[in-house]
Amino acid sequence: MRTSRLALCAATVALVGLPLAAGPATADDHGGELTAELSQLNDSGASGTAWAKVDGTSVEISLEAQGLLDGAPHAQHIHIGGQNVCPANDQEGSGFEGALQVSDAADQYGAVAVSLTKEPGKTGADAALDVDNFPAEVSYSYSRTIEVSEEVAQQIANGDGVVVVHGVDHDGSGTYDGDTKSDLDPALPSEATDPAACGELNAAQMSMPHGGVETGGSSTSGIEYPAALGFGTLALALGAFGLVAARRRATI
Amino acid sequence: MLVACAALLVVGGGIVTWAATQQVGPPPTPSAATSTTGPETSASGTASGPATAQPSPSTPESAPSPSDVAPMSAAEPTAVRIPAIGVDSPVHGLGLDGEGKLQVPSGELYNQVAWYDGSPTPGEVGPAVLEGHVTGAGYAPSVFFELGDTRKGDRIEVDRADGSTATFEVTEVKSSPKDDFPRIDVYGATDGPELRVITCGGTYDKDAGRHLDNVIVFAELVKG
Repeated sequence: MRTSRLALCAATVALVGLPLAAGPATADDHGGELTAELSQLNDSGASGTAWAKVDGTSVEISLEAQGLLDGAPHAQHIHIGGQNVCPANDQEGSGFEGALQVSDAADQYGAVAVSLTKEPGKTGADAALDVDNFPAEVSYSYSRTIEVSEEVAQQIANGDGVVVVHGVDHDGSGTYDGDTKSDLDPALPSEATDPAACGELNAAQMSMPHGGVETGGSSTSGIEYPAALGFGTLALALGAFGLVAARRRATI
Repeated sequence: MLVACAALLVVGGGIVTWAATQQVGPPPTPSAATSTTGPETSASGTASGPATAQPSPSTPESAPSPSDVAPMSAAEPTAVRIPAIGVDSPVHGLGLDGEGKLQVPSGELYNQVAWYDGSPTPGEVGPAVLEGHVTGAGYAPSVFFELGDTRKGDRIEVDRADGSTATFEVTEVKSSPKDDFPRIDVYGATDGPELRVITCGGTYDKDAGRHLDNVIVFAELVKG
């Protein structure tokens, strides 16, 4: 993810009208797919994966998250800027008992560039706290195709995007509450916006195959060498029959 | 007459006994503990020889982090060895089919290991993908029949076309339903050179003629 400076160079090159072919993003070689492994922040216990594909100014994104607070909205965004990286889980911040608040890690993951709302929510930075349109389950699968600016599309394709999922129940009360107010909106408790999971969207190093791999053949729990077994059994039966028949003839 | 019958008995009995010893059970499945760190996985790691022990007194963790090992330049794989499960196979390249699914070894190369030629070459940054069959036609075990018995710490050696060998160490062994394949974990971007080795496993669905799961071995480059 340390490609921001290179990306800047690439953007400059583009501005002066040279082809981008020598740019740092290898995404174009592999179908423009990006992936992220989301890991917990603030000891939230949350985790997940994200996948994105950039096509022009369209960004197709899917996100699977687990281990979040159930029944509470989880704001989720693609951040761009800073060092384009995630903070560490144990990084301390200015929130509840040293909890990391969103702005505490702005140097690392920058600002909100895309809000990953569900339909019909808007997807710009100004929809960052559109709580009605964010997933609100303990675990969920989200996917949407979002139109972004050319600049944002290029930045995401270059691997500058960082996916952040928010909402941490620090005190285990089962809901967003507490005296600490959100650094984004003082009307909300800090728990509602504190980052819960984060993952850096990096360009996949291949065109990713679909589905599982059909490397089976047949079951080995069947009968091996059925012909040998059959022939052997037949020979046994014939021999036994012959012996019995021979003895009968002998006794008569 | 009696002699002929006795001979039939002996021959028949011999054949049945031989066939009985040729019966093969289902392929091994990874134990639940292999998906995380478990005491028995490290035990099997040390048992398989000094090659798996990392004599580095400065760090308690035996596995070096991927950043410790410099990535290798591109060179296609030619052979793979997994000593712990007795695998030693040539490697050929395969691509995707029309539906974007990974093609699998067939014909004369059915029982050999394939490398997905759209993935990085083993030793380059990213997850290099190897695959092989677990079973063949006629109930016979194939090259990766024992893959589910691979354990964390086992070594995987990949010979490459430039004459070098990339050595990986297993970090995780997983079994996943094919219809819930962990696509991002397996094929997604990685920071360092890694390896994925895939075969089939789990319940064999007779009607569909396929195994329902994939066994996936995750490994990291430890020696270029």
